[in-house]
Amino acid sequence: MLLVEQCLNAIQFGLVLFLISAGLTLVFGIMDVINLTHGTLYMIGAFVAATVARTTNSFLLAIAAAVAAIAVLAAVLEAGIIRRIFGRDHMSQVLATFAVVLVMNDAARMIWGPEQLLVKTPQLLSGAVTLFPGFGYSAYRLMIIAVGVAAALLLYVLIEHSRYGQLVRASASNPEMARMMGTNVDRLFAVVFVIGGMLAALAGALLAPIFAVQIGMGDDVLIMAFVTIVIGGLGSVRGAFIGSLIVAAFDTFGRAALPPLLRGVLPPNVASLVGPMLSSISIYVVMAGVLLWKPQGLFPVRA
Amino acid sequence: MSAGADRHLAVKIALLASMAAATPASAQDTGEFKLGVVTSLSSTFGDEGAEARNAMQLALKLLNNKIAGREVKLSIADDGANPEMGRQATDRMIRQEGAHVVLGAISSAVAIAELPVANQNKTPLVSITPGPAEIAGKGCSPYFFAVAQQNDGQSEAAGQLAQTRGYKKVIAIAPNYPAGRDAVTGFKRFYQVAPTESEIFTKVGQLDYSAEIAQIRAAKPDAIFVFLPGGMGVNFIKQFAQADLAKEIQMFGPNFSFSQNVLEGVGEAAVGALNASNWNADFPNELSKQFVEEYKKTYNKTPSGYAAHAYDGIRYLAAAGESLKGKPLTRESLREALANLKTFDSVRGKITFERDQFPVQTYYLLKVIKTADGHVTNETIEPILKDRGNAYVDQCNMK
Amino acid sequence: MEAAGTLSGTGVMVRTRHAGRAVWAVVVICAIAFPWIADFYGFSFYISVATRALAYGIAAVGLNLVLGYGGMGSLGHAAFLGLGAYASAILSTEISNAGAPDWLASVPVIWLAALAVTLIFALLVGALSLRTRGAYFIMITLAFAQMIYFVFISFTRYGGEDGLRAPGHLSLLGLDLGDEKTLYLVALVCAIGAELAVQRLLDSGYGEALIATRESEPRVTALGYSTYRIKLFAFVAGAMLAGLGGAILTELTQFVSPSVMSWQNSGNLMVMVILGGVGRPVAGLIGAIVYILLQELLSTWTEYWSVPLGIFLLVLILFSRTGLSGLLSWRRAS
Repeated sequence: MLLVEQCLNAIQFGLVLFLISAGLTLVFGIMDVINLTHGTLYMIGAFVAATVARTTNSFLLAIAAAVAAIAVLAAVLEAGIIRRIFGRDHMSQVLATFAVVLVMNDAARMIWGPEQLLVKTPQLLSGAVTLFPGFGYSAYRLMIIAVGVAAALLLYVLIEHSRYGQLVRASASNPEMARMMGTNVDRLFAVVFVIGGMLAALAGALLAPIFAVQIGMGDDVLIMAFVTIVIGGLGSVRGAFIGSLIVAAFDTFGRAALPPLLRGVLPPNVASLVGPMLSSISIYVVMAGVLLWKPQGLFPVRA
Repeated sequence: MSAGADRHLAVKIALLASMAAATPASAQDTGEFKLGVVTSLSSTFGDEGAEARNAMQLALKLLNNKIAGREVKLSIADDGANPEMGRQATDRMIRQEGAHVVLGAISSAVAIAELPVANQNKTPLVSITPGPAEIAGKGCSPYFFAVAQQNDGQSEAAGQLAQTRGYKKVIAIAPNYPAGRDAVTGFKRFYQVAPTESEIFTKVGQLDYSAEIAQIRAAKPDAIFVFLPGGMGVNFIKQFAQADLAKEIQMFGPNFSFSQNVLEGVGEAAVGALNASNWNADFPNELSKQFVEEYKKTYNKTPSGYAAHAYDGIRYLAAAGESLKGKPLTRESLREALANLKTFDSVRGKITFERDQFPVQTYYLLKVIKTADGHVTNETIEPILKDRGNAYVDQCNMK
Repeated sequence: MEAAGTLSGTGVMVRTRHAGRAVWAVVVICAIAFPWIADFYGFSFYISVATRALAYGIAAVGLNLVLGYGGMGSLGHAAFLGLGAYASAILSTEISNAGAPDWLASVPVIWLAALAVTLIFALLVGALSLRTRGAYFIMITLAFAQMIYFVFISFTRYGGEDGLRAPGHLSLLGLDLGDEKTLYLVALVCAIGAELAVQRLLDSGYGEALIATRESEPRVTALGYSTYRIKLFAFVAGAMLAGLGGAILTELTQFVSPSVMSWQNSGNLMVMVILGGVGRPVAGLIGAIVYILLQELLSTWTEYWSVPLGIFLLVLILFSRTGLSGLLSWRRAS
C-alpha cells in the first residue's frame, strides 16, 4: 500500500515538474534562449491566482486570471527584452533575464508584500478519493495528475502533429530558411514564449493550494526545472516529460527508501547524517550521471 | 586598453569612492540614541522581518521615540537573510551610522556572522529571535543579549508536552540542518516516554512532502513533532491536512512551525495542532494586551511571536536605558546597563537572564483554533515548562 | 592588449602605451592609499567593503579566465569560493582545537591548504564536467556545486547551515591580518597579482591555445592538441583563484556559511564577470567592485534595492555588448 502511494506521489510530483519545465524547455529548445524569468512567471502566476481566489472565491476564475495575466506579462517581456537578446550569446541572456528576475521579485514584494498568501483547496477537491478499499489519495493531487497528463498530450499533439508545430520545429532548426519560406519567425517565437509563460502560470496557480505562496518561491523551482530539462534533453518536450518522471522518482524514492536502507547498513548516527544528505542531492547525482552517460540529455533535439 | 579608458576608470573609481564618503556619525554622546536595525526584509524571512520591523516601530512610537531620555535615531537595513550582507550592514550601522546598539536578525546564521563585528567594535548586539546554541555556550559574548529565547527552548517545551501527554509513538520531522537537528535534540531532552519511532530529516527548502507523509501514514504514530519553519511548514501542513491524517495523528511542535504568519498561510489545515511557545497573542497581562491591541490597530493583523519578541527588544533597551538617564550614553555604558538588567517586564511576563545573557522564561501549551469569525490563531491552554533557561549555559565561561 | 587604432604611426602608439601604463600606476597608487584616505575622510567602514569586493574580484578573475577566455560556462564557481573559505576556516578551527603551535595558523599554511583543497575538487569536478559542452556543461557544474552545498548544509560538525566561526585572525610574515588595513593591502596585492598572472598566462602560448579552443575546438584538435587538457587547466586555475578569494573572505568576515557557495552566489559571480565584460582584461575586478559597491549603496537608499540594480544591469546588457570595461573604453571596439 505504501508502495502504491509512493508511486502515485512520484507520478504526481513528476507531472508537477513537467508543467513547470515544459515551458522552459520549449523556450530554450526552440528559441535558444536561456530564460531565467521562468521561475518568476511561475511565482507571479501563483500570486495572481491567490489574489483572485481570495476575492472571488472561484478557483477556476483564479486559474484563468493567472494564465491571462502572465500571458500579457510574457508578451510584454518578450517584446521589450527577450527579442533584443534573442540571438546573442547565452551569457548575455543569463545576465539580462537575471536582471529582470531581480526587478520582478522586488516589484512583486512591493505589490503583495512579504507575507505568505493563503489559497484554499477548492471545496470539491479537498477530500480524498478512495481508490480502493482502505486507501484514499488526495483528490487534489489526482486532479494535478490529470491536468499534467492532459497538458502533456496537448503539447505532444500540437508539436508533433499540427501544422503549427511543424512551423515551430522548422523555425527552430533553421530560422533563416523558415523566414525565406515566408514564416513570420519573430511572431512565432513570441507565441512560443508566451505559451511557455502560460504553462508556468498554470503550474503556479494549480500548486498554490498545496505549496507556500511567497516571494522567491520561483527560484528553487527554477533550479529543479533546469535539472529536469537537462536530463530530458534541452528543447525536447518528450524529454521534459520523461525527465520529470525520472527526477520525481529518484527524489521520492530517495527520500522514502534511502534513510531506512542506510540504517540497515550503517551505524545509526552515521546513517542519520548521510541519509538525508544523499536524498537532498539525489536529483543532482542523477543529472550528473545522465550527462556523463549521454552528454546531451536523453532526447537531444539539437545535434 | 587605451589611455582614455584608464583615465575614465580612475575617474569612475574616485567618483564612486567620494559618493560613499558620507561622514560617519560617531557614537559619542550627541544627545541621540542611535539605534541600528538590521533585519530580513527581502528573501526567505521577509515576512518575519517585516513583522519585526513593524513591532519595533510600534514600540518606539509608544515610547514617544525616547530611550534613556534621548531622542531615538533609527536606521534600518536589510540583511536579505544572508550572513554576509547582515555582517556588512551591521558593520555599516556601527561604523558609519554610529549606532549604539544593533538588533533585528531573524536568521541564526546571520546573527552568528554579526557577532564578531559587534565584539570587535564593542557594541551590544541584541537578538530578537535567534538564540544559537553556540552563542549560549562556548561562544558566549558579553556583547550578545538574547531577549527572545535560546533556539531549543520551544522544542524542549514541546518535548515536555509530549511527555506529559504520554504519547507512545512519535515521529519527528525537521529540515536537515543544525537548527532542525537542535530542535529534535531539544525535543528528546524532555521527551523520555520512548525513543522516537523515527526521525525524518528533509531537504532544506523542500516543496513536496508526499513521500514523507506516506511514510508517516504507514507508521501510524500517535503524534508527530514538526519543526519546519516558514514556507516549509506551510507546505507540509497543507499537504498533511490534504492527506487526511490530521484527525488520527496529532501534529505538535515548537511555535516556529505554527506561528501566526504560518497560520496565515495554511488556514484551517492547522486547526487542532498543539505547539509550545513563550508568548501568545491572548496572554492576559497588561503589557501584552496593550501590545496586541495597538498592533492590530496599526497593522490590521494579529502579531506573531516574531513581532512580540521584536517589541520586547525595544522595550528591553528602554528598560536598560532607564538607568542611563542623565548619565553619559556610550556603547560601553549601554552594554553595562543591559548586563546589569537582571529582570525585565516583557509581554511574556517577568523574565530573568542567565550568565550567558539568555532569558529564563516559562513556556506554554498552545492549540490552533478557528475563532467564531473564521480567524485561525493560537489559543493558550496552560504552562508546560516553567522557568526554563537553556542547556548550554554551563559551557559559557563569562563572569 | 595594445592601444591600437590610430593611423598616425608608431610614435603615437608608443606614447599612448606609456600613457596607459602611467594611468594604471595612478589607479594602483590610489588603491593603495585608499584605506588612509578612508580613515581621513571618516568612511573606514568602506575598507571592509573594498576588501570584500577584492576577494570576490579575485574569484571573478578566475571565472573570467574560465568563462571569458575559456568559453566554459561554469555556473558552480561559487562552490570553489566556498571550498576555499571553508578549508581555511576548518583548518584554523582544527589547529586551534588541537592546541597546535601558532605558526601553523598563518597565511602560508592555511591559504596554501585552501588552494590545495580547491585544486583537488576542481580536478575532480572539471575532469567529469568537461565531458559535456555548452548548456549541459553549465548545468553539470551547477549540479556539482549544489552537491557540495548540500553536503556543507548538513555537515553539523562544522556548523551546517548556521555557519562556522573562524577561531581568530591569521598572521602573514609577522603581520596581523586582524588589522583592517593590512588585510585590505594583502587582498589588493593578491588581486593585482592574480590579474597580472592571468594576463601573463593569456599572453603565453597556452593562452593562445585556450582562446583558440574557445573559438574553434575542432581546429585546435586537428592541430594535435588535447582541448580537454587545455580547458581543464583553465578550469582548475580559475577554481583555485576562487578558492583564494574564499580564504580572504573568511579572514575578513571571520565566518563562513554555506550561503557563500549557493547557486545564487554563483549567479552573482557570473553577473560580476559579465558586468565587467566577459573575456576582457580586468573585467573580473571591475565587475566585482562595481557590483558590490552598487549593492551596498543601493541598499542604503531603498528597501527595494534590487529594482534599481536590476534596471542598471538590464540597461547595460541591452545597450552594450562588452560590459563595463567595454563602455569605459573610448576606443569603440568592433
